[in-house]
Amino acid sequence: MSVLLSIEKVSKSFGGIWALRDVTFDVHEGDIVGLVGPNGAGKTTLLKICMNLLRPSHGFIKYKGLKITGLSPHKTCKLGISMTNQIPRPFKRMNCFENVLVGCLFGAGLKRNEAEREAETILEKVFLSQKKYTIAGELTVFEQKLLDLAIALSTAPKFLMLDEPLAGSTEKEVAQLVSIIKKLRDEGTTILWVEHVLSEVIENCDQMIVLNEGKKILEGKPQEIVNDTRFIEAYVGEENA
Amino acid sequence: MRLKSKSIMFSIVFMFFIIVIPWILQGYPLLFLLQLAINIAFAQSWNLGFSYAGLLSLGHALFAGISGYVTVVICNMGIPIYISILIGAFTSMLFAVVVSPLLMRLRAIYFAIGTLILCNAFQYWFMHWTEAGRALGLRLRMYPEYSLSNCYYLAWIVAFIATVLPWIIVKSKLGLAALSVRDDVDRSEAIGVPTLLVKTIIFAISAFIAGLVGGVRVAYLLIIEPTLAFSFEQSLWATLAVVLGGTGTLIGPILGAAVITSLQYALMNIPELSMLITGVMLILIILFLPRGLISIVKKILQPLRKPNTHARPPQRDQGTIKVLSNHKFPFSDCSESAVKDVCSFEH
Amino acid sequence: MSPSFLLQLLINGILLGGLYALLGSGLSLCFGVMKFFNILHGSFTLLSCYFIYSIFTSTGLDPIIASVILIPAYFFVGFCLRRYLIGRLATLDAVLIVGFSLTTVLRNIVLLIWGARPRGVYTSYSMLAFDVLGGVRISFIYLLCFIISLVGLFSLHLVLKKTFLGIAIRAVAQDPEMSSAFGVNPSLIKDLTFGISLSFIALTGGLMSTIYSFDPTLEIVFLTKAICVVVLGGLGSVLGTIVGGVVLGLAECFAGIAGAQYQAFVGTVIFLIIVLIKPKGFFGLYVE
Repeated sequence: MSVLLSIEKVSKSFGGIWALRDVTFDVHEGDIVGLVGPNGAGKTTLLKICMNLLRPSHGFIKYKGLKITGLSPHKTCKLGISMTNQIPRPFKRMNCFENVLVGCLFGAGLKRNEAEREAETILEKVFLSQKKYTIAGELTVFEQKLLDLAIALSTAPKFLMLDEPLAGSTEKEVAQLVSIIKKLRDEGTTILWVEHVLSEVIENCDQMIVLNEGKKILEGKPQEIVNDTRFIEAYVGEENA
Repeated sequence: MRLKSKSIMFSIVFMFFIIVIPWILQGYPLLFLLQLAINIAFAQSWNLGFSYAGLLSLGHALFAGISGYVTVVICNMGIPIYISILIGAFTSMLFAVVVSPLLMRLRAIYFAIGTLILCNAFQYWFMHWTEAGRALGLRLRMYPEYSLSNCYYLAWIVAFIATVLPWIIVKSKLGLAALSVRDDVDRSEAIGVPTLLVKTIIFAISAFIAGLVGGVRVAYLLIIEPTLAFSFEQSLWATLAVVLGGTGTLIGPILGAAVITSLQYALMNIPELSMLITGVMLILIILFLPRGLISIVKKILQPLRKPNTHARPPQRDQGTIKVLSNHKFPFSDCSESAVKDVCSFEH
Repeated sequence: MSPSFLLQLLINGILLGGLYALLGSGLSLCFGVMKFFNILHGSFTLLSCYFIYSIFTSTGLDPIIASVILIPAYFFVGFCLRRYLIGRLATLDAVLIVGFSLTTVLRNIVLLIWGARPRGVYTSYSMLAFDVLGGVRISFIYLLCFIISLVGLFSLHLVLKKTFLGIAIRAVAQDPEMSSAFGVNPSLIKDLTFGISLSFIALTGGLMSTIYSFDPTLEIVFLTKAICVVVLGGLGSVLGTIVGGVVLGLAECFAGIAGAQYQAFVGTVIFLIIVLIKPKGFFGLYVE
């Protein structure tokens, strides 16, 4: 499997505080890669850098072998990269259908009729068809999460980044989300999945990357990592290692 | 279908009255209607930028002013007034495009302050520019067909363009993009919308309409001078008209313009007081009636409408974008349940 | 151009700069702490000019003393304004529009009460000047304003660094939520800060009235100058504000060589240049 996205020695400082330090890893096409780490480890920052919403202080991102750091976010999106947000960010004053339609028209570049059909299909995928004409601001939190995902999907991404999609969800909701994620992978989307709910990550990911305090401390198959002392230290604390 | 045919019927009747009135009335009422048209057009121009792209322009008079001056210069060279006004409007549009890269990169409040300062800078510049007549301004000389009714028609043509143009945009791909930019610039950018371009285009069109207004105003007044052309008062009137009428709709500015024109005429002799009242009104509206008059109108007309389920599929031929319904005033965070906007231009 | 002429300009620029720094300090404090761009800054400054003028012409009270008396009144107004009006507004757009409306309201109140004619405050010592070596004249008023401005700025600096209030203000400026976790009421602090900001405006306006002639259109000039000072000097430090003020003062004085009309324009030009160079938001706070 070829490498789709390559993160090369990315570092980012915010006024002297280093959120990321020399992070390097590859994401292979067709994989689900789990990105885990304690709070403040720099995961969201890394995703934003991949999306070019932030510029790294050092290092760069390569997509399909080409350096993409420095492009505008909308060009990055057109290349096939997309992301969801930890706190859902739909367009609050538009309805669900319009929310998804924008991405179909612009990110995916479809013509009007195709875009409308695609938007409907995506809403079905995330189980939001019933709420097609509901204003996004009126959805429940979970529905907003689904919508956020739908928006990310509207741009027909090859590389999808999920930022803690399972946070605060009930068991049923988790199951729903995971099934959507797995289906996406089966359809060929490469996924970089930032998550705190470790059980799901371990179960569903092909690869796992662990960040702590901005540095990559572990990389490998989920089963190997989980038993590594460094992982346990980072998450739980030294006494329990 | 009922609502749409109602809207269209109403519009046709309205247009009929507008066209016929100069034969019935003269003088004062005609003047009022002329001013109304100008106010509607300027309000719609500001509304396009604010409600549909989130661009809060506090110095909107800038575009009217630039266009006004250009119109005078061009017309005095012998070119017919209609073309002069168009040229003036295009100049304003060009200026907006040129200035956009500077302004668009500014976030939120900086954009607003930037327009304010730019408008003031122009006022200052034109005050001291000898070729532009300094404080006395320029006179429009070559307008042989000048008459009140001609200006009246000009004004209403512009008001019509000012209302229809945003409507077309709002229903288009550009309009959808603009709404997403308004709601969340970064997210919009991240899903492939070229936000800078979208904002610039909307701003340019808004400037164009404002330019048309500036040209018409000068055609009527036959003179343009810096304190009037670049005044903050103009911008404030436009803001009040839109906020009072209701942002996020196309009829809000019309309602609001009607109210402020009445206000302008009632307080014609005490300009300071009228501006004072304008300012106070704006503050009160924001505090107590943030959704504008439209919300009251909706409430009154609510019982007259047939019940709608919002899951009803839209008509295919009109496109599925129900963009004009439910766009919340940007000031309040609470939401209302979905209610069909009777005054929208949708069915 | 003789060296003494240049020296004169230099000195004038620096002295004026002190006053400009005071002008900018209110805005800097306001924006730094409350992230609230006080569009009313110019209006209130102008209003205090007029108040001082009225007090002076009716009672003969020295403008400097009158300014000091005006301070608590302005503090109170600022506090209430923030608490009952601005604090209630949900979004930035609302704040800006309300601010914009208020500037119009204030301008028209000024027009109604005082009229459009330019006013000035001329005290017994307005024309006083010292002749220093090298043919340079130092205007007493300029010097007085400079000294008072420095005193004002220094006290601000002390308050921010040494008092509990100052620490609370700085804490809220950096992180309102965390501050509340430590027992600081961010809303109250913001109200107080706005009050303090307005106090400085009161003083500045009073001092300005002795140096400039003013008319109702001046509020945006004051606003533009204040923005320049803050932008040039950066946010958050009193020293920075002083630097910004002096730079503006010098720029204005030297621009005066080209012609009087350019002097007033300098502020706007600097503003536009800054916009070109620092597009993301000139206070550097709007990081991506």
